[in-house]
Amino acid sequence: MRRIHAGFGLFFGLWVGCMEYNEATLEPVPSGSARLDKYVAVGNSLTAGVQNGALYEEAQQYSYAALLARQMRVADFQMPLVSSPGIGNRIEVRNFNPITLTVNTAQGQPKNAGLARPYDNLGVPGAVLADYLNADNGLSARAQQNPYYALVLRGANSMHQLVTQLRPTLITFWLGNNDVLGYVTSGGVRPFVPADVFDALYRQTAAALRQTGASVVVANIPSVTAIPFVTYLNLTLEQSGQLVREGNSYRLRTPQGNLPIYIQTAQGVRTMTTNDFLLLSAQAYLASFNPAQGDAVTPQRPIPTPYVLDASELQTASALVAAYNQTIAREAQANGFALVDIFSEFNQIVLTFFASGGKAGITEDGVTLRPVPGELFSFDGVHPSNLGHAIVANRFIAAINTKFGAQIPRIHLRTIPRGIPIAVGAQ
Amino acid sequence: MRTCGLGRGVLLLLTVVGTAYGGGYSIYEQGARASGLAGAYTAYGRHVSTIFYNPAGLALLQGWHSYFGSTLILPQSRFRGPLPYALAAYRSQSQQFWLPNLYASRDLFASGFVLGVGLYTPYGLGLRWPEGWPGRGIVTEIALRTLFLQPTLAYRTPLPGLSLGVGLSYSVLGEVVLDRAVVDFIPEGRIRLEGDQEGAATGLVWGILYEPVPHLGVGFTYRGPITLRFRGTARTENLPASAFPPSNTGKTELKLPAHWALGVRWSPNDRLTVLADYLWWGWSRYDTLRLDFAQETAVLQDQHIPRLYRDTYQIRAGLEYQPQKKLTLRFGVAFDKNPVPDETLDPTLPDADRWIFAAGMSYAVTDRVSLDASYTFVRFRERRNTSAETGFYGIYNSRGDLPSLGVTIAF
Repeated sequence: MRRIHAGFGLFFGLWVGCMEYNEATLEPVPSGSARLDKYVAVGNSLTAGVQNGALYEEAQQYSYAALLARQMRVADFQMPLVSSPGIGNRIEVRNFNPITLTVNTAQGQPKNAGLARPYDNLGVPGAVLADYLNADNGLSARAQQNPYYALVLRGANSMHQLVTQLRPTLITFWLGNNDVLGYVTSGGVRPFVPADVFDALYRQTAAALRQTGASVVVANIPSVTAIPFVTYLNLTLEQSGQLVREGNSYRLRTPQGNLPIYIQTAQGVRTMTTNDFLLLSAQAYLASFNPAQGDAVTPQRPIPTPYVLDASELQTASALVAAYNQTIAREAQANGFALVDIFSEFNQIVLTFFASGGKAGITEDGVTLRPVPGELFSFDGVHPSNLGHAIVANRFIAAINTKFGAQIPRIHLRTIPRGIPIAVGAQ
Repeated sequence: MRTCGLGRGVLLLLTVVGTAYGGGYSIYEQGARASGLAGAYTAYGRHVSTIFYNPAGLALLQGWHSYFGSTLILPQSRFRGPLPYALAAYRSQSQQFWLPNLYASRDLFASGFVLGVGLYTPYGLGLRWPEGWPGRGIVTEIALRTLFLQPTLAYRTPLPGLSLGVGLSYSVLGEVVLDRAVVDFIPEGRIRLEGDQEGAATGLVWGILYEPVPHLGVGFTYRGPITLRFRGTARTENLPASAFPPSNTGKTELKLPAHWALGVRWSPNDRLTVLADYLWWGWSRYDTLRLDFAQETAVLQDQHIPRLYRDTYQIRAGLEYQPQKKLTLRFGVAFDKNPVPDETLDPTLPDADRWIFAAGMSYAVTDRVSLDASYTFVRFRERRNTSAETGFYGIYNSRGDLPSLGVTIAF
């Protein structure tokens, strides 16, 4: 159908058939052997779209799940939206020169709580693998009385119950990060899910997912050293000259010379090596410590264990991630799921980053992003930024296209706003 | 409170996304007579508005001549997208731009020399997109206004039928506006750049008109390149001062292309004249847009934005018919090849190849006074863009309506 534009008087009457514009329609996305019309996302805070330590709508709209739904042109993809500044305490920028962050303790309100059906984004911040089938292992979001659990599940018995109710044709499933993440971010204080427990649970979960009849895409667990929460502080302290490498040990630069740094570990107090990581949570502690009084530089006043992921803890966590990922790969293969290898993707970015001394990142569409807060990650150092989510979504798209022969268009990174929260009264 | 080392250049791309003053922003409608012929006017001569189209044509005029006119531009653009996931339609808000077309000339005591002056607007642009539209991070409003004064001297050579003309195109005033949202922040902010022309800018114009016999003519015009420099302020709304200094100043320059035109005239009888022109435009001069800010921050930095425009051409044809002594009718059609490549196309100037249709008339009220009118309709070809570097894809449709009125007085 074409609109005829007429009425230009005598002369323009000759120009009949001159179109104001051609009708255009969006062709359906070629879906290959999958069906993309009913999509449900299962996961944790990454899937929910937590950024900067909070769940709020401006970030939820850019979660990889929401972006994927948009690219697949899924109609009516519903999320448990929360008004700004969200639930959690949002980290916001107060000044750009230098970058100064502040925490906003105000809380947002749920905006979509009246929805008469389950949400399509079933990402529950804090959820572990056990939450999917509600196989409580003490770490589950329900057992932890996590407020997000009630927000997303609204009284349902399990995520799986809601998935079944939604009758999806496509499921993305990304759980397991929190099974080890709590251990990492607490400097080895909090427990992790042992590999054999994870393996058995994942096997059950995969079988349940397969039974839905939907096409399933699973993602594996990124390396714990890929997150700035672990890597960023050592790097910045080294760049600013406060940490000095001597052999394989880190020393603290003081007016009295370069002093050894003492850290508390499960095996007792020892000096810090270049394989020990000061966590982002140590910032407040480090800001208040005083080497002149012996803080950190005497065995009597070591850096407390929750602020340090020491070498053996790192090894434990890395081995766990490797074991989890082996399970995930095996189950994906056995059940015909598409697998998104987030582990390798992020590992590559992090290796490039460190090999370049903290300069290089991933470049797509002319946008370069390093694995640091404010670029690939949001300011909490754990959750991806809008752009990080777009990159994750592109990996999901690639995996779906490869596995099922679909042709979902990738996301152009320059169309994604950075989503930097600005504090009220920022300078 | 925590401090994070957000590196310099992290947010470098924040304001880069597609700034431009546009490209195919030349305006060739500088008088109702030429416009009625769709601009096929290089070999026309015989009217004082030839000061713009071919200074040599002025040599054919004796005594005092003047033209007081104005052209109204009514641009309209529509965007549908953003592709690949949406096809919602957004229309630019209706705007009106009045351009002056003023010319005067006098022969110098039958010496063969004629002196003239013109005031016109050869470059301009104005577009305002709806508040909150998906392309707001690129542009919500853009405007370019210019005004040129052109003193001109033409000479009828002793060689029969050969005239020469030369003029100096002097930029009297210029103004640019670029308004956009800063979408990278929550909540969003807004930045508005407003600049005025700084310093003088002049360009050379010269032309030849050769009429070996009364019913045939050939004309050639060359208009040299001009670079306009602008200096202005960046006003912000709802943005932190440490990222966007509120009293920041900045400068930029706009490289205007050279062009040449070759035209022919054929008058088979006293009542009919046929004209055809070929024009070349050196748009490849506009390779980069530079924005220099007086105060740079981690977020706001100087920008060099590739534009990569291509040289282009136009083909113009016109027909003039005089059914009776007092009345002259004109018709014209032209094709205008756009200079903007797909990679740098964005909604600051959603250019496309254009078809131009024109009609006009003159009515001689007395021997000395005649009224001139024309109507030009510009149809932009539909342009579907899915390869712009901004990633902002969609379908553009544009049109322009340019009515023009004027009065010619000779004595």
